[in-house]
Amino acid sequence: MNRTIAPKVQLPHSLSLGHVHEETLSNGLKVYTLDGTSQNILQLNILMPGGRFFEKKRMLAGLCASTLLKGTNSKSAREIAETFDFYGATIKIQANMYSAQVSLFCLSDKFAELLPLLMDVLQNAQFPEKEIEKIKRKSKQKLAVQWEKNSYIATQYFNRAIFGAEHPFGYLSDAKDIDAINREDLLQYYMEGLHLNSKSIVLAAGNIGATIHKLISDSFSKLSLHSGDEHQANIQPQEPDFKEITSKNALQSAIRIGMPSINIYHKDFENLQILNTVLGGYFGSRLMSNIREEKGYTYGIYSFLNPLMDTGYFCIATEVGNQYKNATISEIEKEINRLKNEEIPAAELAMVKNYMIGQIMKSADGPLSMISTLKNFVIFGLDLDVLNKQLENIHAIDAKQLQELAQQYLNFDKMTKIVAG
Amino acid sequence: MTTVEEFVLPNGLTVLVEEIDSTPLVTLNMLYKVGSKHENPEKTGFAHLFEHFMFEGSKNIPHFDSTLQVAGGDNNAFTTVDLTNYYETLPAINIETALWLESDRMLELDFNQQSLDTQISVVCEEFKQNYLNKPFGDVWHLLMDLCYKSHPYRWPTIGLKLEHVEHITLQETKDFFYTYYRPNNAILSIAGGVKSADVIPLVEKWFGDIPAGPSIEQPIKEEDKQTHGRTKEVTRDVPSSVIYKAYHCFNRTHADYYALDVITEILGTGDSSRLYKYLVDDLGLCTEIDAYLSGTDEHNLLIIEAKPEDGISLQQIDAAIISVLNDLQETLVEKRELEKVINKACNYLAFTNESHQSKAFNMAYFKSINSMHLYNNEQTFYHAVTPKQIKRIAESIFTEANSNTLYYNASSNE
Repeated sequence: MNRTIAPKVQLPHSLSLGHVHEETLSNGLKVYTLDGTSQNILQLNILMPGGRFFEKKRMLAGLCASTLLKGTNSKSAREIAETFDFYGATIKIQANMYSAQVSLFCLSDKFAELLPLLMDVLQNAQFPEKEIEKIKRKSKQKLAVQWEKNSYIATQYFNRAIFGAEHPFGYLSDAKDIDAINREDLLQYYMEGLHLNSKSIVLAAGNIGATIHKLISDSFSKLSLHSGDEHQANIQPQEPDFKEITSKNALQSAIRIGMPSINIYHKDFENLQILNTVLGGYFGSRLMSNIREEKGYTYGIYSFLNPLMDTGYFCIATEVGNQYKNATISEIEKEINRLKNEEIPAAELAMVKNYMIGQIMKSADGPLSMISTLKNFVIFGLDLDVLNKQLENIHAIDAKQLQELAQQYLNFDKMTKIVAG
Repeated sequence: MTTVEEFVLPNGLTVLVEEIDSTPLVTLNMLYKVGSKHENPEKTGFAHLFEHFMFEGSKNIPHFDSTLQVAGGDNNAFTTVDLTNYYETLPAINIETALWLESDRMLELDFNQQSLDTQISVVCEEFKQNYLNKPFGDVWHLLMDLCYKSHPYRWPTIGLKLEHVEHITLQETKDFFYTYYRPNNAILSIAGGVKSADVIPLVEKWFGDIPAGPSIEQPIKEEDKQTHGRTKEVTRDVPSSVIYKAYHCFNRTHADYYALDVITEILGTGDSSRLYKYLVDDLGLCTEIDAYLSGTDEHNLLIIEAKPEDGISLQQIDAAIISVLNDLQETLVEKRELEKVINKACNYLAFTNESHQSKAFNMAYFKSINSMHLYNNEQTFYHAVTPKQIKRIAESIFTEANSNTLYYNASSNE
């Protein structure tokens, strides 16, 4: 046996995606279901067009999500928690950038018992004063801890530099803004941003079957929906910024380097994702190989493209030993310029392509993974076919195209650079 | 019901295979029965540093990660106090690549000073990022040192101090490898879209010729039974104070383990748990409170942590926690509360079992503690827990003499 010869590998050109059942209820609500887990489980996600983008007061989306389960007109916070816990279920409320999300994870045979409570929370949340005050104190305590972390400080200032200090994605989180929120604000945001409306989407995956399917359709179709809000946040183009922030935790510095970029609908978006993967999008990336594996400056360095609707941004993030701060920034510049000046060698490109194909297979592996992937697409009005389109792109792209993309979209001099440490 | 194929190669490597035909992927999991508890007290952090070194190339394959990526795979690894675990997830059709990679790095590593230096530097940055340069980063060091006096659990996996990691030599990594990274000290498990009949000959092909190592007869230092309550008080520049209370329990394989887990859930998981209801809701003493088990093979700790509301002292919280614990010793748990906790456990187990990656690790883990009867079967043990058993365990654990309390004060609060 010759151990130096690699076993042959094969990768698919298309994916079998399983059957996603798509349905529009009589009230206009969209429901996606995926049946077929091996376990007797159910994951239900309800997406509402809320999130930070729709905030009319700072920190409101997050605080509203934290207080949603704290009482309805017939149930106390404790009764709600008792019921979800009694049936062994987990319920999570999140405020994302563009969406507010309610997620329920339970055993399929407990779903019928949990559904009435879920509907109650979705329609009749009350936000009791006492609970609001408690959550505000807890949120402020957590925020104070966050501001002690260089990584948090750097991300906050980076977002501000990209979006502007007034944008819902750009303002600095401040305890004073939490103090300024009252019950009326929460109720108003709940009605507008955390409430099922005509743009909401329900997704369910698991061992569903006809009974659960019918339960979902019946209960969600009974709801009268608000019309979707057309709120738009105002984006001002920002000048690139360079900022060094001194913090008291000075063993390491957190670095964020990046710039505005294309949005998820742009024709180059998928290809730019491939370029980003080469640079810093996975463990074997150029940034990781150079700055962690060769130089040992950091425990980790990554780059990412954040897919947004009307804009997008590109960012490199790392925490490095203080003595390596300047060396790291200059290596980042070198790696960006290398992508612009040289074609990616064939072996490296083949490796990245195969790695990305494996990742796409993972994102479609079974109903739970598939629904989590679909969830991120439907927010943008896209569906799972994106995965097959991504596969096609990956197979088709060549080194020359990637070099052109680097020249077009990456410009180190125009990048915002934030260092906290 | 799924079945696990289990066998041992002549060199001592234990192999477990489970076919899961619903996935086109497979996870290969390699568990080495070495963790930080096997370290020399003067060379702590070794097992974890070695985990990093395992990715620096092997005898015939210079680049581990990129070779796996060519096959569409990704991987990760972690080190605990008890074990070091590596796994690769990739398209099932490419399983042989993962076997080739894992077998080559078990056969022989590329022992190279430059790679070692780089990984020492990476681990030192990890140490700074997670333990030194972060609010509350030193909690685990303080708490383990308080709880364990002779058992090697007294230092965390990252190591006691940076200097230990900085001074590791290439010869020491070789000695470590040829002691602990031999087939007879490892468990290979495979779960996913493969057939045992196809995969077993490939396991034999790639792992069959790796020589066995010495049998490991290294006794782990025992921890004497704690006889007096211990407290430690520190002040740090953090935004809020926190209290930790830890009680010594027993080994993972103890017959009472699932009842212990139930106790932990009753006390402190979620907003309907007893600690939350009493200390957060009723008394308004804390903003957050949690209880959890350390989850180690031996000498488990039941740990409670809480963050105070403004103006509340850690001592007030301490007293309130003790009263909740006393209640478990005095009154039998009601059926409904027990049923709730069992439902939660079953929910968690069902979601875990949906992932072939979790299954691959769980198989290897249960094998490592000689408890394959627990694999896919833990629900049975939760269902068997009784209120009397809970009371008896609470009586024996929650005593002043068995308690370890860390008061972690925020200097800004003074």
